[in-house]
Amino acid sequence: MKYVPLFMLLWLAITPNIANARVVEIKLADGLVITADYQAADHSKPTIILLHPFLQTRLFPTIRTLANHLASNGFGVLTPTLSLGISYRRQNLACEAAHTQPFNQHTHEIKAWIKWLQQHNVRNIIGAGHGMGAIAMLATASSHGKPSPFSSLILVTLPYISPQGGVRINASQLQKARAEKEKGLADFLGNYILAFCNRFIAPRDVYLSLSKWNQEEVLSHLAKLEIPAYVIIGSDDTVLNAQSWPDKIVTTGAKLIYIDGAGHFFTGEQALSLYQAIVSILETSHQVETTDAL
Amino acid sequence: MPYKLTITQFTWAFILLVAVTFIMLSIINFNQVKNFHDKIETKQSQLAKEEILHSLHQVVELMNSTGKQIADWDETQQQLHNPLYYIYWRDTRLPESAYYFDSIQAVELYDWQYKALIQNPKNRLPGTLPTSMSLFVEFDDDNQKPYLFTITPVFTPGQKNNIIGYVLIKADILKAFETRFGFTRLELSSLQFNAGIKSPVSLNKLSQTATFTLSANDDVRSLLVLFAKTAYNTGILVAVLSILFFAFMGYIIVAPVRKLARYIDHLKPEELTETQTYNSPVNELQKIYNSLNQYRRQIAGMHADLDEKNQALWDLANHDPLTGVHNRRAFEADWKQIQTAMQGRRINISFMLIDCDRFKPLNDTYGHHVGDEVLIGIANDVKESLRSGDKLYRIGGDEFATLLIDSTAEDAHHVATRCLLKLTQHDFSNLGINEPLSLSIGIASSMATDMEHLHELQQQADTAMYFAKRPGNEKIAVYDSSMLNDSLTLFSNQITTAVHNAVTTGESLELHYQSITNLHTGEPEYYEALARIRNKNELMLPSKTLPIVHNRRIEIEFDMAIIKSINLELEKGIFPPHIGVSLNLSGLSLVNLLVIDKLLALRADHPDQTIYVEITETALITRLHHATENLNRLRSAGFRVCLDDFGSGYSSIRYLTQMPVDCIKFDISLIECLKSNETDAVIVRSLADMVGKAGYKLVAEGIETEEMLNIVKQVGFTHAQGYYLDKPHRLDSKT
Repeated sequence: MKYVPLFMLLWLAITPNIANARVVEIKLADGLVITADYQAADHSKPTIILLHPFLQTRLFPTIRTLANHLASNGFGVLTPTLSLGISYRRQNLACEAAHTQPFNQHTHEIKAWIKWLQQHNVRNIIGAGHGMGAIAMLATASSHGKPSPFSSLILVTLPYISPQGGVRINASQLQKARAEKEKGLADFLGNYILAFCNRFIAPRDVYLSLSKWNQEEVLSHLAKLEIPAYVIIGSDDTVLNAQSWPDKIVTTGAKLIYIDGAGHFFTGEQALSLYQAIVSILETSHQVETTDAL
Repeated sequence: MPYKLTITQFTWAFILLVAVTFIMLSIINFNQVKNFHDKIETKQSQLAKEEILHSLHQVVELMNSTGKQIADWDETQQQLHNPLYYIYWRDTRLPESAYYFDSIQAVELYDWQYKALIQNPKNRLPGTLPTSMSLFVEFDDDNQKPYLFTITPVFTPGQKNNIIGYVLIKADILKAFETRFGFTRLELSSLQFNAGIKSPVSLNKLSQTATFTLSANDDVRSLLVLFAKTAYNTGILVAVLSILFFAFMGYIIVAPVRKLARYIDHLKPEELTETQTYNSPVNELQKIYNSLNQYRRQIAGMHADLDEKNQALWDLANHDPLTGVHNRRAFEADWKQIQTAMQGRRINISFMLIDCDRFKPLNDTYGHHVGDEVLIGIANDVKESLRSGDKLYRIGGDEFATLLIDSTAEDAHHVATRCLLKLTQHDFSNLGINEPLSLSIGIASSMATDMEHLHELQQQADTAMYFAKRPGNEKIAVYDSSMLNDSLTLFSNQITTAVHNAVTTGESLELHYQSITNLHTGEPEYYEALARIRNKNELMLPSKTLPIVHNRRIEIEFDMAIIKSINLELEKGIFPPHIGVSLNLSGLSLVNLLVIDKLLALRADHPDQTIYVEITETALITRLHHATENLNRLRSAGFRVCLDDFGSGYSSIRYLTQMPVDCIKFDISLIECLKSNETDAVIVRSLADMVGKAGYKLVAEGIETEEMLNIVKQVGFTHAQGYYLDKPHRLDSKT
């Protein structure tokens, strides 16, 4: 049995991309064109909207690996790339690029994809995201009217933004930005510390729209959910295992799933554990069978 | 003498020639290398331009690639969609991106209508892009640098026909060259382009306007360095070889030749016998030396031989071959030397002149051989009687002289006395001479300071000697000035001068004629020419002049002068018709071919004139054979020969039959005998009768009276001559 992880890793490596995936696009009202890979689900299986982490694309390895295997197991998978204000965005957006879209643009685009799926007769939609993608998926779910477009949420590495822990942010910058906003000063591009960016270039409001997702904000949205929410955190994720974040998540009713030995990004063989965890969630919550269930 | 180069100069000239040749060859080689270098540079230049063009294409390719990357960049799409933060993106974000590098001077985005999103005049970028080109080159007005502008379309991702904008990149070409591309054939820092060309500029055109400095070609540089090193090394080698050659020439040639020259210079006659060593490293020079040394030895031998011969010649020239004493030449030389050496010194010099009495008759009587032996004996006697160191000179036939230095007249007289005594003791009987021989010695003495008298010593001694010859005088006479006044002085300067003038110029010579009368007809048949010498107003008789002629041995010259005068007078026609002329010839002239030829010429000039030649029996007997031969030649030419003074000498009557003569002139002493009735007269009468019967004409001379004329007629003489018949006189054309 000790060779099972190695086998699975090999299997993941040789697994092709989503077999029948196609690039789909939506032209938003402001002219932006957003794109996503989409693989329709087999009959009776849900479709998962799988959203990439902060400033990444759908080609983020953890996302792509998950999408591929989920699609290969008959799940419908839609992996959009947030535009971040860029039509047909294909590349990760650098910290130093001008970040022009506020956080709600993410939920706007996710809702566009939900609508697109619904227009394509997809009813059983599971929202999933990694990192800030998880927050974006949480925000979409919490802000969407009833009935919820999602049957459940799988929030991988659900972070919070806080000067004291979690996703990094500079307290003074944040305080200053808030003060300027309160004063109604003009909104110019600013240089901020945010998450892994030491030079996060964005207008003040965009910065504030991202930095508002502190523990309270996240937990409040989790608490508002009327659908099952699964939060997956790596046991070795030093970012999220501080300030009793897992314990606080649990208080919201969300189900916390620890993956032993995994870090913040579930890279390498941790992706297999993550996949197994998600499949396990899907099997238990949606009574679906997977071909490669172990 | 034209200027001659030395071996050293030749060596320098050769070295100079080698140096010039080397320099010229080096220049030629240098030019060839330079041409080669120029060709390579031309080729390199062409290749460099190709390299520039290639690099320009690479820059274009790089900029196009970069433009495409920028065009494909999501953030570019972002700016084209919403250029709200375009300036931040263009001025901050893009330069920090991976698409930006140092050779890019500026990037600008344009919308699909070619308009700049926000115009940026700072970088001189156009507000609107040209629609007809994808790249162009422009020069910056400030720094004259060329900039490449590339235009890259921006498509909607996945839609290649949907251009949403353009990316303009302004690239610093030289910077791109510097940072991105290396040049192997040119120095990038030197690269410049002609800013004067007008846009649009093609890359080809741009590359052709490039000016640059070629990179140093290691191969060519190595070749040049090699050439320079080779030339340098060769130059050093040539210089060293030249120095060695110069030293070699100096050691092998110059020094030995100079040494040889010094050696030759030192080959002076006085050093011929010295031995000098010479060693040369050059075989040929050593051979020259050996040959020279051998030649030198030969010369030394020749010198020695020459010295001997010179000594012999000098002896011969300065000694009398008969007696062995010094001759007249030596006397003259010594006399000059003594005059010079003694000048101004108070030293007595005596000159002694010695003459053998009656030597001529003795010589005529006993013959020359005996006469020679007599002279040898006299010379030995006198020489033995002189002081040690005194020289004896034979200055004439029987005349000797000596110079006695530091000797008074009295000293000289003692010496002369010894000479006479010595001769008296000499026995000449072995020569057949029983009669005693004697000497006449004249002495003249003077102080050396009295140069005038010194010059006159010879004449004074001569005067003294003839004074001594006078009968009854002492045989030794010391000159005294009173002797000059003596009318018997035989030789005076005036007489001698007159004789010499007569002989040499003929001016003072006068011919007087005395007729010889045919006793049968009573008419003159011919004239005897008698020589007279006029000294100023005095007409000198033969008794004064002939001794001088005889003593000076100028008989031939005297006879020649007479012949010449007769010829002149014959030409004047002074002789009466059918009257012949006779002339006297000395014994010496009779055997002298010049005289004979002169007579033959006279004969030829006057073929109709009867000419007699009168000779003495002594002259005829001395060299009988030769004289006979010449007389025969004269007789054959028409001359008539008359034997003069017959009976006065020692000749035998036997000779008469051998003498080719036509007439016999009896000596006056025989004619005088006819006047007596004694035996002498009988003999003479018989002799005349005998000669007349032999067919000879008989001439009686000295007829001074009628009695004598009658006697000779009676005796049978055919002709007569004398004062009674005719006195000697001058003839002229009126005679």
